[in-house]
Amino acid sequence: MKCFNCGCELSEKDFCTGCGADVGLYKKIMHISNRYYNDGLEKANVRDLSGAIVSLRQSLKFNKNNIEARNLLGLVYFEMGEVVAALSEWVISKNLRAKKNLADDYIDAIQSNPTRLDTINQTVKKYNLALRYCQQDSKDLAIIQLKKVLSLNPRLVQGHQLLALLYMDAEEWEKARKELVKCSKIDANNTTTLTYLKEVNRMLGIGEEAAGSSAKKKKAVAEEAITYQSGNETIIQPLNVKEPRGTASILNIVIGVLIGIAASYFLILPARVQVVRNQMKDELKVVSENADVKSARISELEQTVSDLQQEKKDLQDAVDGYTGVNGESHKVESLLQTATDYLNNPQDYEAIADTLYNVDTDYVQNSATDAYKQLYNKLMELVGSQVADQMYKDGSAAINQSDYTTAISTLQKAWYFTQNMETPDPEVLYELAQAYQMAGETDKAKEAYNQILQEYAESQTAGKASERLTELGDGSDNQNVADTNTTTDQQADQQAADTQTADQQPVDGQADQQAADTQTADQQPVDGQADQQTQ
Amino acid sequence: MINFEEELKKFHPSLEIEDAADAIYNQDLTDMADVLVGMLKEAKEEE
Repeated sequence: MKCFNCGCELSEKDFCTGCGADVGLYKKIMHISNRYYNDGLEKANVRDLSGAIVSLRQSLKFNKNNIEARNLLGLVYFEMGEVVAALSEWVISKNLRAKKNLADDYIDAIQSNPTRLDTINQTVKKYNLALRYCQQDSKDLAIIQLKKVLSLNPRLVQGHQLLALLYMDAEEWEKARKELVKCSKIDANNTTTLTYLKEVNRMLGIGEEAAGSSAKKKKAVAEEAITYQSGNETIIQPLNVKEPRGTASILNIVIGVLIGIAASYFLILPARVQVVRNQMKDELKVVSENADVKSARISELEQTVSDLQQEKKDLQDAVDGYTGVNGESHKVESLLQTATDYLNNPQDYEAIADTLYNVDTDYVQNSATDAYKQLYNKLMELVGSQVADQMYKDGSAAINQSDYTTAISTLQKAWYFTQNMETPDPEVLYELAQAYQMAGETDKAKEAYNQILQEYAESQTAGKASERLTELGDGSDNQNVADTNTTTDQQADQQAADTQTADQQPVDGQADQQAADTQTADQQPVDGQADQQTQ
Repeated sequence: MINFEEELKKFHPSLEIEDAADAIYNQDLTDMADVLVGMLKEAKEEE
């Protein structure tokens, strides 16, 4: 302690040893200031912040240079959320003692974080705005603002108290009580807080019950605990307290397992499921691609199989055409059967005709082997003419017997063999045509007659065929054929007419004469010379 | 029973940072020691 007059260090005396000034009263003032500081410190230690503020202010009233008291006052303000007031005390403290001052650290701690300082300033402004809302009776807005303020600066005791007051005005006692409890945790013996809390408890009707229950609890603790003093500390050791064992432990383990399973189910399992799904999608994609390739391959193979089956069927049909029931060639068999029949009985023309007639002449001409052709030709050479004659005779006999069906089949064979001879006899065809005509198959008859006229126009038979065609009402065709014959070879016609006249006069006198007349009449405008010779 | 209006009057606006400087300068820092020194000075002057 220094003398207020000369600045010398004071001794235990009531006067200054340096200047002789009376410092007794001054010393008492300093002691009172220190006394208040100690009181404030004790209150701050038990979180009686409002009580501490009062004591520290008193201390500073006696001694403004009590730096510890001023710094502590700033700290208490800071703890109560009044940062600007705290800063003010610390700034004054620093001005009073520039060196070795804790206020330096406090100021630096706040100023080193401008964002926090700005946030603090915003909370102060919002608190003031909320207070204005309250004064303007805009309590809802005030509550909203105060909630924001307390979310940013939860130690602002005034904010909690004002919010509690608003809740009390709205008769929301529980909310008000919560705010007041928060206030009590920051500033234990705040008069305003205690007043509001008492009112709230009274409205909730829990004051006496709480007091009664707390007394019972204390009594129960006293009964179930051993209390003893260890230095300055009172140690309370509870009795009959056991660690949870048995059922409780099992229950805790089960709860832990359930929590673990739930965590796995909600956190780990979805991720694993997603991974597996992705893998399945990739595999499915690969399988689909393979399936597409295989499907295309299967379609290709099916098409190939279909083609091969069709080819097989065609070949089978071809083989069936070439082979008989026993696997032998029909054609070869027919020819061999003919040869066998001939060797067995050369005079059995009917049997030979039947088998040889069945031989396919197209096959012989186009596809048969040389040996086959030689055998066929040899058989035709050996028996062809005889068979043709025999069939012709049989056919003619059948016509005479009016058995036109037999006649037709027989004469067809006769004409078949006749055709294969070097000089076919058109009479056979003429006889076949007559058989057709008599059987009523006029078209076939006309066709046969026309064939005679076209292929054997130089023969005598052509004249007869022309007559028969006229009878059948096919004069135009006959005329055309006759015209063609006449214009192409008049000399040959003349000779044929001579021969016909000479040959047919004794055999078929009247009919031939009529035919000649008809032919002559038909041909007269064109072939005058032929007519003249005929007459 | 607490009167809301009366209780509201007990609440005062907090100091904002912009006002801190004025508050510091205008703060009356006179303490009992200053009063005592002043009284002693006056007493000396009267003597």
